[in-house]
Amino acid sequence: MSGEPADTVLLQNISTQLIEEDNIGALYEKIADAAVAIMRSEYASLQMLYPERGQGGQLRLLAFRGFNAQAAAFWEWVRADSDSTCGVALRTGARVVAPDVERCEFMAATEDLATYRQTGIRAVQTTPLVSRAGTLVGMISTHWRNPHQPSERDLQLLDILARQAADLIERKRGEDALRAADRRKDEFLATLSHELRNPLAPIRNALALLHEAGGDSALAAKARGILDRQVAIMVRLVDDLLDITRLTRGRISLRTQPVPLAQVLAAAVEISRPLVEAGAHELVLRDAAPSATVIADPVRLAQALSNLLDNAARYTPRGGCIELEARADAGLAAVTVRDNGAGIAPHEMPRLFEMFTQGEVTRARAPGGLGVGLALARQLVELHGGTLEGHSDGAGRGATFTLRMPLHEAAVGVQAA
Amino acid sequence: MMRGRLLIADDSADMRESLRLILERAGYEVRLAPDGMRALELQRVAPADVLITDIFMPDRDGLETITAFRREFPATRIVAMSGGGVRVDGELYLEIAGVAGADVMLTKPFDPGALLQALNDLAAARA
Repeated sequence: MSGEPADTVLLQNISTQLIEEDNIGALYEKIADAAVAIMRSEYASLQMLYPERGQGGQLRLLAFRGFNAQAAAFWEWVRADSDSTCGVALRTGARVVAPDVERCEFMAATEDLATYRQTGIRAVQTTPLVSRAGTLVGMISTHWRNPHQPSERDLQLLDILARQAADLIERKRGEDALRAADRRKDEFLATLSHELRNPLAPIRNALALLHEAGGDSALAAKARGILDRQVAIMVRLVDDLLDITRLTRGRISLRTQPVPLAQVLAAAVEISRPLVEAGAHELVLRDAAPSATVIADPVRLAQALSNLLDNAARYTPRGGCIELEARADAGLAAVTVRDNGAGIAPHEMPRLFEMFTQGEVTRARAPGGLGVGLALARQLVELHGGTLEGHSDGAGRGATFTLRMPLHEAAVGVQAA
Repeated sequence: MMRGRLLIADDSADMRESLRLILERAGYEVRLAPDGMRALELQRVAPADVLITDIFMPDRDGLETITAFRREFPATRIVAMSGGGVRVDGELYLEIAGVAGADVMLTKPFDPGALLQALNDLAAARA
């Protein structure tokens, strides 16, 4: 009874502090402090869930109290198969209490137990941070030097903190994502201005030459050639911009018909020829399904494929090798574009198909383009009921993109017969 | 009349070629390089009076190229051209080019007359 008003005041103070904290790092620290205060523990830790990492996600240590450097390093990333309480809580989605780690069955003889001992921890509880929307955001743990069974009341208070912390973390992450998107948009606008100015420079030169050419027909022909090529580059840029708007508004409709896959491949190669030639790359076409037919909008599918070829040309050092391969496999047409170029760093993979994203390593080397080619390609392929996947063994090790879509059934039947 | 030897470094073939045609008609001797590395190699074989370089290029970007020329060929004048960068606006990159040692900075697209004027001014300053 006597503890209750004090608890309420404590929670209220904590709530106010958390809501007022703008800096996300400081917010994590305050949540850890609050957990220590509520649970009267010697230690605490706050972890964020990265659901896309490993099998079943991984927990990253954001803030801690009482851990030494060794413990903090050991628990920096916790996998879902870990023998710690947070590993178990991640697998089950429920709170895990170990009142005495020496008597805890799942910890017996594990590296986690050794680390608990070395840190001076004897009891631990881990509570999932679940936001109001029902998303598992992370974990909050508290640890004690002596065997300890937290009271129901303490756990109830911790649940209130956990819910509030989960909501705040989720909101902060949302705000961070918005800021990142905003920054990408700014970079995109700078890139766009760069990409528009670049063809304009030779266009202006060529116009000056045309004015001076007079009767010099050879000079005039050269100037017109420059104008033709550079205007074509600008037209493609503007087309891409229009497509971004159309796709984000769902306004692209396909004019589908049965199309020989070989025809689409040839069209894509033709569209990408300028960039492939500009990079002095060798383009190898291997068509193992010369009679395959797909239901597609030939213009849009060729555009998606040429975006993959352009991407390979841009991100491969001069004189590289680009392979375009087609095959028919289990009712699916599979088209692969493989290069021996700059590759993709593992941390860039999750954003590979996001609009306005460009490879970081090579960006300083002026690959050109708007950073929308892969995003457009995937959306166009998905409109066709297909899939587009990217793979790379890492930076500097080339990249492979594979497009899969259903083969036209009538054509499959003809082939089988 | 030979007005001077120029070296143009730009990764766009049409940009190189259009500048070459304009500058040769104005009486300059012009050599072309598709990137900064090649520009430096050409300069070692046959030194030019003025380097006209793009800022964003593969293999060796313009800023590195400007720094390398400043160190190895201090007498060579440098004109930097840029259509802007991917992170910030073009003016800032040109400012950096100026700090790196470029004598003249031009934002793409520019009036070819402005380039000819700048080359005249550089020649006059040296004479």
